Amino acid sequence: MPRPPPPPRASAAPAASESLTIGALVGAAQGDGATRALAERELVERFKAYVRRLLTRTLGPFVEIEDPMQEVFFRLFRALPKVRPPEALPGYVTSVTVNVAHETLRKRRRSRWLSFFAADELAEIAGSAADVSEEMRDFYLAAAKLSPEAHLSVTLRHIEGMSLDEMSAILGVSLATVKRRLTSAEQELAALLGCPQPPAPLRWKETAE
Amino acid sequence: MSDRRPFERLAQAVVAQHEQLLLRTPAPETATIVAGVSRCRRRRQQRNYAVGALFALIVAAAVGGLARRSAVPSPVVAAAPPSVGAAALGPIPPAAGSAPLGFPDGSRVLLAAGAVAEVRAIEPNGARVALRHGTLTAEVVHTSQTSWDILAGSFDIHVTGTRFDATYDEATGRLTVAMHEGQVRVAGPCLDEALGAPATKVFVCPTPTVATPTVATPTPDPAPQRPPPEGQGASMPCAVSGTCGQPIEEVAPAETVLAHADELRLAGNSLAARRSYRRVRERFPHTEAAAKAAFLLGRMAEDGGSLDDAAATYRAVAGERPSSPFVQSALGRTLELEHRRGRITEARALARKYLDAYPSGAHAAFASSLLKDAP
Repeated sequence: MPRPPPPPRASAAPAASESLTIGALVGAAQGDGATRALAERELVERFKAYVRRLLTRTLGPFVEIEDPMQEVFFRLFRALPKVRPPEALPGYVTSVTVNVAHETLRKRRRSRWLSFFAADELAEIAGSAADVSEEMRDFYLAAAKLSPEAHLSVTLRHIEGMSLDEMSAILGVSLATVKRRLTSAEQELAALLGCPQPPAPLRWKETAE
Repeated sequence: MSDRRPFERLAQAVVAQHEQLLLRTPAPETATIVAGVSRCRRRRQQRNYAVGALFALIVAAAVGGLARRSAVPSPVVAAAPPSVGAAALGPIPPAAGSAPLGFPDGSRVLLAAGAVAEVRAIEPNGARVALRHGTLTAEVVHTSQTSWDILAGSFDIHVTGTRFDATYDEATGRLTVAMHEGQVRVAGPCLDEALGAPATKVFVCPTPTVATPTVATPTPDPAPQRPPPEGQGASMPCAVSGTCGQPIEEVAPAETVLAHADELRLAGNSLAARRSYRRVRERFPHTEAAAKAAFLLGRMAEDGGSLDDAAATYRAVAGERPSSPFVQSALGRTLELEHRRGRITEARALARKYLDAYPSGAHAAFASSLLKDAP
């Protein structure tokens, strides 16, 4: 059976196509005073929609994303001197955002452990979120029961629509590791959701990039 | 052949709903994110200081002599008078002027006679107190996590552990900080600087521009304008704009004034924020900036409970700039307001108008629900 096309990646990081280039902004954001503040503001303006979309897709609709967004930009500005060449910033934004999403998931898991916060209780939170479809609620409630790494693998692949190569580069692990994690995460999630899953080798043939 | 479709279908449905959710829910404002980044920086700096202090303490203890003293962190404030009342959110009652107000972290705030202040937030490691007028003495206990803010007009005195007096004159916008111990950081629309004990300094940002760091005669100093507070960028650099000493609202471009107003609003300085938004509307009529300013004035009026003002301001958005993207939100909020005020006929008329113009807008479901039982 042919594999359906992957979900659209409407959220690819914005390229340096605006009036002021990314390189110029990265340079200005490492300056002083008002110049730096204005450059940082412009960078936030350009990337906030992308960061918000990526965080919402990975963390789900029940997580408050304002703090993670601030953390993304805080880390981004702190690391600007390391971005070489400056035009590589969009890819860097993706990496930082995924890292922050990963940490947020880990923190959430830790706090749940500490507060004996059963995963089932998420259902109550989910129930209170308006305008969320049953599919979305089921998906993220099930994903919340996975490990942070598995949660991230499955959302980056199936919700954000990243290729395996992209995931490998962004997560900083080998392609084989990405595949292994994804296989395990998909099987676990499918079981939680009650969806049938093909055996892994068959699935990798279908999803060969 | 195995069937993979249910899983794929579910993922695609989730993706589709994500897009709808993102369209429906407003994105965080740039000013909010920038302010958050500044807070992150401040917290990280505090943590670094704490780690540095701890390291120094360990080294000192290892060298010898300090081991016993380092075991118990000593607060900066010694022999503080006993606290009479526990602090609670809201205005500090005048009776508290004769006795200090105690906070959970052990810090104390004492109001002088005639002073007006309000406790805006209390946290385990600090608090936020707004001084409206008069003199306040703060004795803040220092720990590695301390984070205290005394807000006075458009100034923010950030404290990590110290004892000082702050006097604010609402009429002139003049803040005087007299340091007895430790160090504070004073930030305002035109300055961001540290002040250590022993020192007394007067800060003035006349319709925010210049600080005057003189004790006796606080005359405005037009020459060196300080860089704006970290992450805010509200004031234009003098060298570039050539407008040193002039109010931002009068000389800066619309975007800068808007950003400045956003920062004031987010800092809780509603009065100054409103003034800046109004000035945007006066200086740049019928522009996108004016529409945004009108919309935010409406939001502020709504938050403040002035529903009539809010509705009138929202209506002005569409009247002055029909092509603005804020028109949709303004219309949606107006119909919400009319419904809240019990003006069902007006609300339904607006709901029809809204659905005609924005059938899949954020308020479409609400508008439809209003029309469901309409005659």
